[in-house]
Amino acid sequence: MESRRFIPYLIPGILGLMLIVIIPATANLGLSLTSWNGVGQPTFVGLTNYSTLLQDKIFWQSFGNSIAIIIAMAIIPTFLGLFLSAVLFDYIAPRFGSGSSSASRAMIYLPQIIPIAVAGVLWGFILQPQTGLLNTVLRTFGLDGLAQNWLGDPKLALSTLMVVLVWLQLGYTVVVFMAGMSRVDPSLHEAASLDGAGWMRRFREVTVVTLKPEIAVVLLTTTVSALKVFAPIYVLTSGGPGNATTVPSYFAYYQFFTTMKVGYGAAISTVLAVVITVIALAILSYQNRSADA
Amino acid sequence: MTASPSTAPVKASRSSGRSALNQRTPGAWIVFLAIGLFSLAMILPVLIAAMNSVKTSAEYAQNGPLALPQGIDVSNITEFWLQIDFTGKLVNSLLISLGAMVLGVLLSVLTSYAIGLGKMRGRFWILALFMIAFTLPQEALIYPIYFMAKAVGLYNTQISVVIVVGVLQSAFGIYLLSSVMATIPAETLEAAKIDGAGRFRILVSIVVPLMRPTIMVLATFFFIWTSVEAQADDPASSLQFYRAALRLRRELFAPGVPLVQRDLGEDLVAFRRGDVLVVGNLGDRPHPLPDGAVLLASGPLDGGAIPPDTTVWMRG
Repeated sequence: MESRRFIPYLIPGILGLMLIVIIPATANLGLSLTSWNGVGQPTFVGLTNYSTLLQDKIFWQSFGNSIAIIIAMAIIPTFLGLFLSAVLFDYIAPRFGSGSSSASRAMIYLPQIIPIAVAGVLWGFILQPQTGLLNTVLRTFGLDGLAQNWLGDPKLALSTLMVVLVWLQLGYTVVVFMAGMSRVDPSLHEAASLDGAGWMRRFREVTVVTLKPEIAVVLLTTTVSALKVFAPIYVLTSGGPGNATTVPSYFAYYQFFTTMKVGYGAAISTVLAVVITVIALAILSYQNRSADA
Repeated sequence: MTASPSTAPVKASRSSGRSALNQRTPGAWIVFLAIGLFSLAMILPVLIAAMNSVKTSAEYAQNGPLALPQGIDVSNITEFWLQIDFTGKLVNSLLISLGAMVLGVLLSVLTSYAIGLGKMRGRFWILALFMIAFTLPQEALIYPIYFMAKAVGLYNTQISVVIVVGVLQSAFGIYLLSSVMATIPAETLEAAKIDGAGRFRILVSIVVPLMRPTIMVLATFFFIWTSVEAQADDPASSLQFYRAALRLRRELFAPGVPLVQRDLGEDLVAFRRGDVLVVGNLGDRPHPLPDGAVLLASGPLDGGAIPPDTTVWMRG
C-alpha cells in the first residue's frame, strides 16, 4: 500500500520513456519488416530482412569484434579503474594531499570530455604510419622493425583500436569509483590498517566489497556502451580496413545512411537492441539478487 | 569485516601531521612518480594537439606535427573561431547541455526515488523498462524520432534535442541512483518518518543531501556527454539532407538523360544532367554561385558564394 504512494514520482519518467523510446522503438521494429530506401512508401516484406541477416557474414563478424570491444571498453577499464582509483584515493591522497590525486583524476578523465571527432584527429597524429609520433619515436630508437601501419593493417587495427578505447573509457570508471569511495566510511579503512592489514588486503577486503554497487553499475554500463559503440569506430577506422573493425552499430548505420537499405538497418538495430537488453537484464538480475542476499 | 576498532592494537602514533602509516617512504615516491607519468601519458594526445594549434600553416607543413612550435601563432585559432561562428555554436551547445542536464537529473532523481526507496512490487521490471532507453542503439531511434519531431513542428529545435537527450541519459541516472539509494540505512528514513516528514520532504531534505556526491557526478556526466554529442554532427540533420537529395533525384532526373561534366574552374567539380547542375567546391576558398535557382545545398551558402567543402544542386 505504502509503495503505491510513490507512483506520482514515476509519471514524468514514464511519459518521457514512452515518447522518446517505446514508440520510436516500436516504429523501428515495424520498419525492420519492410524494404525501404528512405523516401516514398515502405514495402512490407515480412521477415526477409532477418533471414538475410542470419546469413550475412559481416553481421556475424561485427558481433565477434564486439567481444574485443567489450574487453577494451568494459573489462580492462573496470579493473584498471578500480585499482587506480584506490591508489589515488587511499595511497596518494593521504601521503601527497588530495590536490595531487584530484589532478591525476582530472588528467585521466580528460579523454572523456574532448569531442570524439577531435580525439580521432589526435590519434591520427600519433598512429599515422609515416610521420606519426609512435613510429617516429620507434625509428629514433632504432626499432624500425616495430613501426607498423597501426590502423591500416587488418591484423593490427582491432588491437590498436582497443588501446584507444581503453584510453577513452578509463576516466569514466575512475571518476565513478572515486565518488563511491568518498561515500565509504573512512573509519573502516582506518580500523583495517590499524589492525595491520596491508594496502593490497584493504583494497580486496574493504574497497572492493564496499564498492559493489558501483562496480555492478560500471560493468553494466560499460558493457552496454561497448555493444553500442559507434562514434570512435566511425572516426578512427570506419569499420576498416576491410571489415576488420566493424561493429553492429556501425554496420546498421552503414545500411541506414550509405546503402539506404533502411529496412535492413532497422532489422540489424532491432537484433542488436534485443541482444544488449538481454545481457543488461542478466547483469541487472545478478546484481539484484546479490543486493537482496 | 577484517577488524573491529575496539580490539585493534594501536600501532600508529597520532602525532602532528601525517600518521606513521602514511609516510612518504621511497616506495610511496615511486608510486607517486608512476601515477604522475601515467596521467601525463593520458593527456599526451591533447598536449600534441595544443602544440600544433599554435603553429603557422607553413611551419606545420615544413616540420610536421611533432616538432616543437617556433613561436606562438594564434591566427589558426582565431580564424577557426570566426569561420565557423564558434561563439554561436558554443552558446547553443551550452544551452542544450544545461537543459539536458537539468531534465536528466530531475527525471533520474524522481524515478530512482520511487524505484530505489519506494520498494514497489515489480521494481526490478520497472528499472528494466527504464534501462531500455540506455540499451537501445541510438540509430534505431533516428528515423522514427525524426518523423515525430517533424509532425509536431519541433524538428531541428533546441527543445527537441533537450528532451531526447535528457530522457535517454536519465536511464543511466535512474540506474546509478537507485543502486546507490538502496544503501541508505533504513533507520535514517524511519527516523524522518517518525518526525512526521512527508515523502517529498524526505526526498529533498534527506535523500538528495545524502546522494549529493553521486548526483554531482551524474550532473557532470550529463553535461559533458551532451556537449560532446552536440559538437558532433547531428545525424538527424544529415538525414534530412540525404532525404532531400534523394527526393530531388527522383523528381528531377528522368532515366536515360546523360550526365555531363562541366568545367567551372579550379577547385570546382560540376555535373549537369538535363537542366540540373550539381557543383561541389573542393577548394579552400568560397566561389561565386553560377546563375540559376538553388534547389539544395549541403551547407549554408554565404551571400551568393559556395563555401569550401559544400555542394549545391541548382536548376538553370
